[in-house]
Amino acid sequence: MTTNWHDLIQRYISGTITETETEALEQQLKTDATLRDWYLDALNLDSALEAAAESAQTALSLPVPFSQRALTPVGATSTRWFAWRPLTAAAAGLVIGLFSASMVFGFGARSVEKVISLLQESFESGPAPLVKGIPQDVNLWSGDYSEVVERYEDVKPAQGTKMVRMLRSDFEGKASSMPNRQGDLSRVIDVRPFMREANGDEVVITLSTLFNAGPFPDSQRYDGVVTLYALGELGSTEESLMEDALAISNGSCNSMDRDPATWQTASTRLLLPTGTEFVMLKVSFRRWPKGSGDQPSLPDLMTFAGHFVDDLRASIRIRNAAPNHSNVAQP
Amino acid sequence: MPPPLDPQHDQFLRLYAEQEQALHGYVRSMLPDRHETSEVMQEVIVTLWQKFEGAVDFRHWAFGVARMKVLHHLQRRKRDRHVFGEELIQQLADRQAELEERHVTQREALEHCLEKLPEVQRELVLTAYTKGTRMDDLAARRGETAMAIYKKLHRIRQALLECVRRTLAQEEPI
Repeated sequence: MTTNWHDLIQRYISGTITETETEALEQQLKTDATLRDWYLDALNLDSALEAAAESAQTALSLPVPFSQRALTPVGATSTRWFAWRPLTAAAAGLVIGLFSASMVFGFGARSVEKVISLLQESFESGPAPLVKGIPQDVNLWSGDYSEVVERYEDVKPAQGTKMVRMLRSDFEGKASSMPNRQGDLSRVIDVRPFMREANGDEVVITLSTLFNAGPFPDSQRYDGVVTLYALGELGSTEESLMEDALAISNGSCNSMDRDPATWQTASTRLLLPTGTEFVMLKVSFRRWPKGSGDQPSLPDLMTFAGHFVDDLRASIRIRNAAPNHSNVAQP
Repeated sequence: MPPPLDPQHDQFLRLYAEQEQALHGYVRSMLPDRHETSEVMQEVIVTLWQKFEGAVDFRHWAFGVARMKVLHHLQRRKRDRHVFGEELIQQLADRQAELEERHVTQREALEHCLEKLPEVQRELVLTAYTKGTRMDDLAARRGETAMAIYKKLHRIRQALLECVRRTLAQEEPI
């Protein structure tokens, strides 16, 4: 009789394997490199499905009772991740956001919703982004060194005739001497009118952006990242932002291609927790090492040869749960 | 507004965020259970922060801490769950470090494969993987036995794994 090793692996992962079967599987894995890879792929799938399920919950559309929906407010105490002191709560928010990047699914739950476009930015008019780090006022772009350009070498704007080119990962007067491998551009939006209108119902903000990069060395890897921060007040700094945020979500297009003709999308969405008054939208280019283990070899400050952002869209959705939804817990 | 974070705190968060996904994969390669992985990861991050003194070879240090935490955890768990021995666990962890890039691309391909699943299967697998979902509750809600759900999930996972592998094989340059 031949042993179905894949089946045994699945049962090992689910904890339904016997001791004898565990020993047989262990001996086989020790000598079978292909099966070891299969096992590690199966574990990776298991972890990725958990992340996908978490993102799907954040998308607010899973058919589970509203009362059981676990959302992503940093500092909340609904899961063990967020039950720590503020430092690790902030770290956990960042971590989960990264791990769940770009996986959001919806299943069309019955509800009444209103979608309002907040922003459609292709940098055609208006002042150039400030180079002052995190914006300290609403409705202006500010961040690291960047410039508004028209066609740049082989890269054409995705929308209109202009786009933003990220130049560096720092800004004027940046005091920190810590490594910074990410070029950011941010804008703060006042969401108080929408929170008032929602009057306790669900408010979700969505952000999507197009990213492009010209050819860059094969030894480098870049991700385009979009991040949403729910804030209770203005005045956050780079140092305090993680701590100040009531909730954070991000999405990314990983490992950008080197084709100037193609624009890649990253998007994310965030349920705004009670107390949110402002939302900060952030678009970033993040540099990674190509392989594992060479992170320390990256310079502490990045300059970007040809990295572009265009066609940034943000919308807000106010969702009222339909009272006859079959899965809504009844009071 | 709370006071700004101290620079060491910010540096730690950045370094940790850069390594978190790889660190999670490393821990997971040694632990079959994802819930146990989450528990150990919490212990790892607390220890890393408590003992953090700077950025020198953060990755190497963090992986060492993670390995010790996993082995300690497995010592405790041996009593109530069948687990592999230390020799194989080390083999798997070493191989996992080589597969990081591949697993990133697999996760990207999974999004595509999940979209291709029939809706009823996609809903089942994502509900089953939602934190706090108990298999017997899920089975009761669906009017099925827990064993039937396990079997369905097993088939869905196999299909997803095959889909991911097929997708990546198609993307490889000829």
